[in-house]
Amino acid sequence: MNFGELLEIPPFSLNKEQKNELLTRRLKELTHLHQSNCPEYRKILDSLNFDIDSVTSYAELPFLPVRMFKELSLKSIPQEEIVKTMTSSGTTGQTPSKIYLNRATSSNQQKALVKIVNEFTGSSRMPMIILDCPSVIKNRAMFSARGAGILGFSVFGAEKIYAFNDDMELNVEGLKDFLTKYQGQKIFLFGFTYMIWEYFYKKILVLKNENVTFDLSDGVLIHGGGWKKLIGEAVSAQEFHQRLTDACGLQHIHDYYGMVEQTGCIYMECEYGHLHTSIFSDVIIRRTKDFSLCGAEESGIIEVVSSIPESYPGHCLLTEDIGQILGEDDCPCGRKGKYFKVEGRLKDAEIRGCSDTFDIRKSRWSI
Amino acid sequence: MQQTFSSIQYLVGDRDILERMESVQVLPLFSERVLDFMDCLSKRLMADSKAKKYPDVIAFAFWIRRASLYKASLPYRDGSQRIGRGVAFHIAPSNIPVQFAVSMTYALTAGNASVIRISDKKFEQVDIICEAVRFVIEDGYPDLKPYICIIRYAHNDEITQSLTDLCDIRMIWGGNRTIAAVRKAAIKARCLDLGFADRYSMAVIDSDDYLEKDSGILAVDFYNDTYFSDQNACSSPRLVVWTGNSVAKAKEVFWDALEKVIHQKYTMDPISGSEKLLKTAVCAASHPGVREIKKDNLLVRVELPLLYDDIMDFKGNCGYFFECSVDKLECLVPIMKQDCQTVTYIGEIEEELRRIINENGVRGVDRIVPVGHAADIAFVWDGLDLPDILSRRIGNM
Repeated sequence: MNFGELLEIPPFSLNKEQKNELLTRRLKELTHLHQSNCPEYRKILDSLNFDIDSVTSYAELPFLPVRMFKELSLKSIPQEEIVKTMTSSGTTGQTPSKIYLNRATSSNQQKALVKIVNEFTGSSRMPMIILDCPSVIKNRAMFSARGAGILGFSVFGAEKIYAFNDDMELNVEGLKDFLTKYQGQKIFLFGFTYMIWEYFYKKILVLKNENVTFDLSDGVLIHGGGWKKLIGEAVSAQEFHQRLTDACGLQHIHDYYGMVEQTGCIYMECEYGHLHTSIFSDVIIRRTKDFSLCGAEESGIIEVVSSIPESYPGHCLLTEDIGQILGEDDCPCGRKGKYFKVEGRLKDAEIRGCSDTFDIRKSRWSI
Repeated sequence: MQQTFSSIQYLVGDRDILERMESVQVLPLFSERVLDFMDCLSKRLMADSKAKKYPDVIAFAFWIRRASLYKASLPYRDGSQRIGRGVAFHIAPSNIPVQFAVSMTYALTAGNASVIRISDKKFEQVDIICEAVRFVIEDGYPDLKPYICIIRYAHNDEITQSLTDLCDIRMIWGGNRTIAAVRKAAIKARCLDLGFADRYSMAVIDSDDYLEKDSGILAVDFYNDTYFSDQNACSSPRLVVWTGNSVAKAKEVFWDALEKVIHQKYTMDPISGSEKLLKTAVCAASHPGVREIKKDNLLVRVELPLLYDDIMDFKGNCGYFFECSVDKLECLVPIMKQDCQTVTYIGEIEEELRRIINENGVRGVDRIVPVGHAADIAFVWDGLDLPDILSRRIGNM
C-alpha cells in the first residue's frame, strides 16, 4: 500500500472500522519494511518475541520508546538517501533525537500536514505572521523542531513576516505595515506556545498601555510545542486563548500536539478544544502497569502511530506524555476519528539508591 | 574562610565548631566514649515513634548498638595502638537517606571528627537522625560536640575547597560525576581521598540447592536486596546468574515467588515501565539473542544467550533483571570487572566463588554475601577495611 492512497482520502472522514482496517494494513507494511531494512529494529523485535502474522490490529504492533531516537541512530535507508536530519529541541544537556528523512518521507510529511491543516484553515494561502525569529531556520541541514515546524507551516503562507528580530524583540513597525497592507484579509499566524506568550503576548500588553494596538480579529493562530514552560506562569490553555483574544482580538486559535519524531501527523485542536486524530495517524492510550489498553476517559501513556515514516522505524512510538481518549467519531465539530486530551508528562522516577549528589534534575512539566 | 562558611546551613553543630574542628583531639579506634554515644543514639532512634516507619533508620539504629559495634571492633583489638587521623569531610549521596549517618559512624568510631555535607533533597529520615544526634549530644555527650557538623550547602566550589582544606580524609559517596566534581577541589598532601563510585552487583543461584529451600522466604530476601531500594543501591543485583542442573524449574519457582511479593509490597513509579522498555530496546539493538520476559511492567527479565561483558552498561532499575544460565561459575570471570561490587548467592557456592576470584585475579567483586544481605551495613565496604583505613596504627618496629 502506497502512502499516496491515504492522501486521496479526506483526513477526518473515516469511521473507526474503516480507519482500523486502513491503518492496520499500512502499519503492518511499515513494520515489515523496517524489519527488513533496519537491523537494530529487527533485533529489537526479535527480543520482544514479535510475530507479525499474529497481528490483527495496529494496537498489537510493537512500539519503541520515543527516547530511542536519542539513544541510537535508527534508519531504514542507506546513508546516501538521507535528505534531511531533524533534531528535537531536547532540554539542555540532553542528547537530541535524530530523525533521518529521505525524499519520500519528507515529502509525505509535508503533504499530510497540508491535508490536516487545510481542514481548519481552508485551502487558500494567506498572508502569514511567523511568531518567531528568522535565525531559527538558518541551518537547513540540521533542522530543529522549531525550525521544522516553521518551515512546515510556511506552506500556508503567501507573503510572510517574522514577528521578532533575532534578539526576540517585537518588530512593531513591520507588523503595523504588514497588517495595514493586508487589512480585511484572513491572516495566518504560527508559532510556539511559549514564544508567543513570552515575546508576543507580554509585549503587546505593554504596548497597549502606550496605546499601540494590533487588531488580529481576522487572524487564525496555530500554535504548538507544549505547555511545559508555561506551567511556571500558571497559564492554562483556556486562559492563554482568552488573554490573546482580549489583547489583540484573535478569535480562531488552535493548539496542536505533535513531535519531531512523527512530523506531519499533527493532532489539531478543534473548535471544541479537542485534539483530533486524522486518518494518517492515531493515538493509543496505555496503562503504565502493563501497557494494556486504557478504556475511554482513562488516563495513561500516549502511544502515537503514524503511517508516514518509511526512512526510520518511528511509526509506532510510546511517548512520555499522559493523556486520555475523550471519544471517537462523535465530536460535535463533525470530524471523525478519536479525539483526546494531553494531561501532562510522566515524571522522572523518584529514585532511591546511589546517585549523583550534584545532579540537578530538571523538574518535568505537567499541564 | 570566614566568608565562604557563612552560606552553610547547620543541621548539627555550628560555624564555631566547624572552624575549630582542625584542632580537636583525635580519639582511639572504637573508643568507649564513642561506643557509648552510639549506643545512646541507637536507643533514642529505636524509641522514636517517627522512626518506626523507616526500616532504614531502624536498621541503622540496630547496627550502632553497643553489642554490634563491639563485635565489629573485635578484629582490631589485637594489642596494636590505633587512633584517628583528624577531620573527615563526607559528601553523602542524594538518594540513600541514611548513608550520611553510616559514613559518620565509620569516621567517628575510627576516632575522627566529621563534617558531613548532605544533599538538598529533603528526607524525613535525615531530620529524625539529626534531631537524635543533637539530643544525645546535649543530653550527655557535650564533649563530643566538637566532633560533628552536619551541613547543607548549595553546590559551591569555594565551600567544597574550604572544607577540603580542613580535612584529612575525604569520603565522597555518589555517582562518578559527583566524585569528579568534588575532586576539582585539591586535597592536602597527606589527605586520604576515598571515592565510593557507581557499582553493579549480581546474584548467583545454584538451581538444585535453591529448590530445596523455602522459596517464599528467599523471595522476600531477594525483594529486600532489590525492590526495596528500587534496585538502585550499588549492592542491588541487576543480573541473576543460574547454575546447576534444574535451572528451568528453579527459574519458574523463583520468579513466581518473587512476583507474589512484588504484588503485595511494591508500588511502581509510572515511568519505570517505559524506562525498562527503553533499556531492553537499546540493549537488544546491539546484542543479538536477548529476549524479554514479562507479564507486566513490575518485573521485567531479559534473558541473555551469553554473558555479554558490557551488559552492565545497560543495567536498569525498579525490577529490571538480566538473566543468564552458565555451565560453570568460571563463566562469570569476564563480568567480575572493577565496577562489580557485591555478589549475592543461594546455594553452597561461596567457596567456589572465592576460589574463582583468587585463581583468575579478577579486579572486581568486593563482597560475597547470601541473598537477603545485599543491603546490610558493614565496616568493610567497597573492598576497604574502613576502621583500619580511617585510623592510624602507631607502629613499634
